[in-house]
Amino acid sequence: MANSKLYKGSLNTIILKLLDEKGKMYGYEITQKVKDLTKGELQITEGALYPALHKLEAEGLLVVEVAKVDNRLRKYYKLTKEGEKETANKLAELEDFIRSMQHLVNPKWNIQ
Amino acid sequence: MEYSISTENMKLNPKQILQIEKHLDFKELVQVDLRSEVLDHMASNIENTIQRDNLEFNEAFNAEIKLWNEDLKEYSSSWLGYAWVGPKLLMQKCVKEVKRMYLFSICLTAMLSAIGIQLTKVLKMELPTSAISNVLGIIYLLSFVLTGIGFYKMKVSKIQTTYRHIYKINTIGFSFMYLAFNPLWSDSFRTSLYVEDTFFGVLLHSFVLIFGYHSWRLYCKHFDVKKGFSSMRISCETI
Repeated sequence: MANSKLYKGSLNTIILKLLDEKGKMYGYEITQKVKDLTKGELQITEGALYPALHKLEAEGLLVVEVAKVDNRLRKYYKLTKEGEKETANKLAELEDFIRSMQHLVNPKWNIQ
Repeated sequence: MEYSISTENMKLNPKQILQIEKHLDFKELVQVDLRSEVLDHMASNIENTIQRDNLEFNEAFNAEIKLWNEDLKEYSSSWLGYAWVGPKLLMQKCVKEVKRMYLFSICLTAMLSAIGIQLTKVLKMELPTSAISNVLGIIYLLSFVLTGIGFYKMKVSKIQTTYRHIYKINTIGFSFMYLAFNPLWSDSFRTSLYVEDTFFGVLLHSFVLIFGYHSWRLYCKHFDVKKGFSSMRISCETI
């Protein structure tokens, strides 16, 4: 498994990006989606995921919708309008960061 | 690529869900906003594990408990007072909320106090200290009573949320400042309103008033959560 510390600073951006693509997701679904997309390289722990989701919710970037599924309640997270704007900003920031790292680590390789 | 969530076949039955609920009761995670998502996460992973690894429910359940041990272990923080102990996930959420409350209150207090003091100096205003003290004293008394009524209403709402928990462990204690620093019966807090004497009074009273606003915010958030969960027609009394 890759060094999870490298992903840690990007957790909020990863969550926002997934919600932007999928519309609404619940916590467990996010962990599984990330695990699959990274082929198991990144496994978001519960202790990291939920505080991040709650922080984004407190900042007004996410809203919660509750539904009853399979004998239990499920909390779905969705982007707010502000969340959609923030997703675009965060992704642009992350791409800039990756470009900068690319210049430092391997100048011949190109993100595009 | 499809991700590995079992959408067919294996679903936990109500008895198995109840077993997870009992574990959460044992861990004292009773706040519906957190409990529901931990329960759903545990149940989803147990279903997935049973299907993927062909395990019995009890084996998958025990493995899941181990996964959550760290996040549900007993935890306390100096921000809330070490006397308050609860599941780490809950207490950390409370700490973040309380830090946000303090930061907001301190920043706004500093800003409003600076503006107020400068205006008074520039305009050479003479503050009607006695009148201000009386009005402030009455506002404090009302705030104290409203804080109590707020807590009572949250309690009879028969639902526990993170916001009710913060209200209980932070706001109720804080509300005694409305009595302790009340200018109606404390001369020292009347005279300290004189801007020329000291900034302390202005800063203190601004902070108390601004922090009091958070009681209202927590109260509203509690009922927002209740509204979201009540629409599911689930009895929250058992939670």
